[in-house]
Amino acid sequence: MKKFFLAVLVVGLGIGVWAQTDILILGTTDRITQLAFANSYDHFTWHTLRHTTRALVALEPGTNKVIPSVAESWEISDDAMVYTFHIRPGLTFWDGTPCDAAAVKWALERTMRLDGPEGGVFLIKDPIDKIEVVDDLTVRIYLKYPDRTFLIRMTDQVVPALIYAKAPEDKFCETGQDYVGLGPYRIVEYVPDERVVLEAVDTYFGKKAKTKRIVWAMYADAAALRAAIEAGDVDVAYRTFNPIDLIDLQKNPDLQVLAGPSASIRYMLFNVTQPPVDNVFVRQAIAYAVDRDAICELVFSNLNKPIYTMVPKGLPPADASIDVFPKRDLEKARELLRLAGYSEENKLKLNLWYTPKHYGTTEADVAAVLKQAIEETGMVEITIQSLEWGAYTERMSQGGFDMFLLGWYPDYLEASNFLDPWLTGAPEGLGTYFNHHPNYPAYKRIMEVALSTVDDEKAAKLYQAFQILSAYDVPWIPLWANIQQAYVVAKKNVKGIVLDLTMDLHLDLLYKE
Amino acid sequence: MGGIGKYIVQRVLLTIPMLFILLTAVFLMLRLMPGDPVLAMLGGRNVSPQLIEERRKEWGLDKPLHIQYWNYLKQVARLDFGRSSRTGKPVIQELFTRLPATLELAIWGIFFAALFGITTGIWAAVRADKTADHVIRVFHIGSFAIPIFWLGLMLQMIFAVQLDWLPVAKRVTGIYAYTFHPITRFYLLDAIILRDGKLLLDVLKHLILPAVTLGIALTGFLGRMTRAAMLEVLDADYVTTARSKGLKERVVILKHALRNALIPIVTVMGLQFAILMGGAVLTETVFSWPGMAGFLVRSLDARDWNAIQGTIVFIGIFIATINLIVDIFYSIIDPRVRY
Repeated sequence: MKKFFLAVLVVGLGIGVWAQTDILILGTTDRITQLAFANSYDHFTWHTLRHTTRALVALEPGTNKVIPSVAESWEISDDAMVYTFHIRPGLTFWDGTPCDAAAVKWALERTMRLDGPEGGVFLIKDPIDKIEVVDDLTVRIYLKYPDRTFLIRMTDQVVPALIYAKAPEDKFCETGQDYVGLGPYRIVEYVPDERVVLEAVDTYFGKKAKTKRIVWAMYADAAALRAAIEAGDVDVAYRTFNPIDLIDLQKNPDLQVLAGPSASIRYMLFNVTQPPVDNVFVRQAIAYAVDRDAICELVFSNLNKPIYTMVPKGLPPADASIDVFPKRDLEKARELLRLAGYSEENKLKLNLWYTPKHYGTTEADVAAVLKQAIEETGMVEITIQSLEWGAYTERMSQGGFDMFLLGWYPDYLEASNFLDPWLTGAPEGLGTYFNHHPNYPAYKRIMEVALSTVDDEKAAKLYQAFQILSAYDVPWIPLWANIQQAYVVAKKNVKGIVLDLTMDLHLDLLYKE
Repeated sequence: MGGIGKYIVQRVLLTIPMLFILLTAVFLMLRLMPGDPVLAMLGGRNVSPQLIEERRKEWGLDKPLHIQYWNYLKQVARLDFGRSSRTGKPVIQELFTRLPATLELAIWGIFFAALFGITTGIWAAVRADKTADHVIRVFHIGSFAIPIFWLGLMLQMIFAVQLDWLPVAKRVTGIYAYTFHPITRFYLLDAIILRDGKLLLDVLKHLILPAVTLGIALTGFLGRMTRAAMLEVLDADYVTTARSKGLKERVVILKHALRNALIPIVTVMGLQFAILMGGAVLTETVFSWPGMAGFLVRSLDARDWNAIQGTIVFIGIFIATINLIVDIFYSIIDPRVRY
């Protein structure tokens, strides 16, 4: 009998050990808002949903190349108004329901019909005119206007483009278990603010997920996340650490600290209608006076990198990104300030607005470094002002800021998504009031022509023109690439860490040795 | 109806205007606060002003203030706090999901505070003006002067990161995510119901640091209250009589003195519950405890008006109920109290 119990114990321990190696525990400070395709618009919720199902096309992990996914191939009409997708034969959702053209049409139309107030459905709804089932495995999408970004908007990076089935017809999904998907994982449990639990499915058409079970544990802040990875409570910690924590963790021999690519950028904006920043010489002077290197070194311990254009390198179309903003030159800044009528005796008085928490805890330091750098001209006096995010956005959209800090995380990976929003997309709402600027029609036209062409080279040239013009008008000043947000800290035995430019961590490639 | 029944009905009726005032104050304060919930949600995104207007209309924010207020009152009367704009779920559902976590933490925080506060208070009173009394009094002052978030971080660094004795944060180890399916969401109770010893140990280990952090501020307060109340009754005639009857000192202290000293202490404990909820905001943040306080903080950041109003009114009802229970408890600990 004793031997029997011993055998049970050994088997039990064995199962316990097996079970543990089959689970990866990940920590984050991010939160899920709503597990709804039609009513969510944030990084972590989208990350979770896109691991449960797939879109017609995808981005190759670690690159920006559009590759087949639910659709095995596609054609684009010459006028770029009609997209025909050929669906992979034999595709089924988790429950065995076939995924055909009708299923694709139903999912996309449902998402567009529900179009929740907190969602990003407009990203696919705006350009789509109608969706047509051609045959069982062919779906055709007609656009309202030619849009070169459409294929990228239909990748799984844009969650409203995901294909799913058996979701409630007239209400948003809520639990993660009220739909069936096509992805490598399904959500088995979601406890708000606590954890989300994923389990690999056998029906996934791609490569089988390397880890059977994934638990995302949600931590309150960067300090708690750091403590959790240091104490070994989690195998991987991702988003978002404080710079100083990352520097310390890099010295920990038990951990690996990896930096992924990041398309997240930070910049300064101007309300071009508000004196004194309505004067282009003032804006140009500030562009010469800001000290990006000091921000990156003093505030971010060089984890972030200075940028001189809004478009991150490596985004499609090729060569769209060019450095157009000048390096620091205080003499040039003083010269421009004199042209604007200011001097050491008659100083330019400006407010610099920031929001203390929305972009992390480093924002006040950034504002202080900027103030010091600009005041070094000896001809400017800056008053730093801050408002909590709710009040910040309200004042910003009312045009209440002369000079303010903001950040951008792309909706989709195409250069236009880094140029359009502030100047031609929603200029008033984003505080620049650029639609009152005399060059506004020129920017608008450049963007319209660029978006309507399928010729990458032509589009790249137009985006370059847009950037060159912006360096003269200075409605914005690009400051730094937010690489710090794309740092993964993991135990040494965790492998397969692949990060996209969208800062998406590929859970299906992660495993523990 | 007479006696305690009548008293309870009176107290419940008195709670209604109190909640009405609270509800009105929260409603007005949110609208006076700078920041628009739609812009907080959509601000900084590439969305048109038309879309922002549409959303404002959908959320009823385009209506005059008195109409918004009336609609809100009607909703609350049905115990409907609306939907959270951040999570899309009914606020009441969000609160009930998180309530057990906050309550579990608060209960253990109070338990810790009562255990150490009352014990050290009695000890200090019994040894009044002796070295032990001085040491305990310093401990009491120190414990409620210490900032909760600092203490929490220090305990975390020492006991979790350096010594590796206890977990850093959360309510349960991630590995249990697949095997543990909470029944009541009071994890300690769930572990007992499920008769899972390992889970019970894991939950207990997770509870220790947050409960100590939350309870420590109250420990000093209760300790000082206990000491003062005990000193008052230790000189009373009935305590002298008890001693002269030859009763053991332990019986005199615990049965005769402490029972009478408990009335102000219990009152304070009831009132301190509100303060404890405030402390829970910090404790839940430091220990990533998924409770109501964290939900309130995130809702404030997002200008999620329904969630903020709902959480505050809910906490108001909760504190009123606790105080009512404390009042009822008087009659149990002191038979002289009659209603």
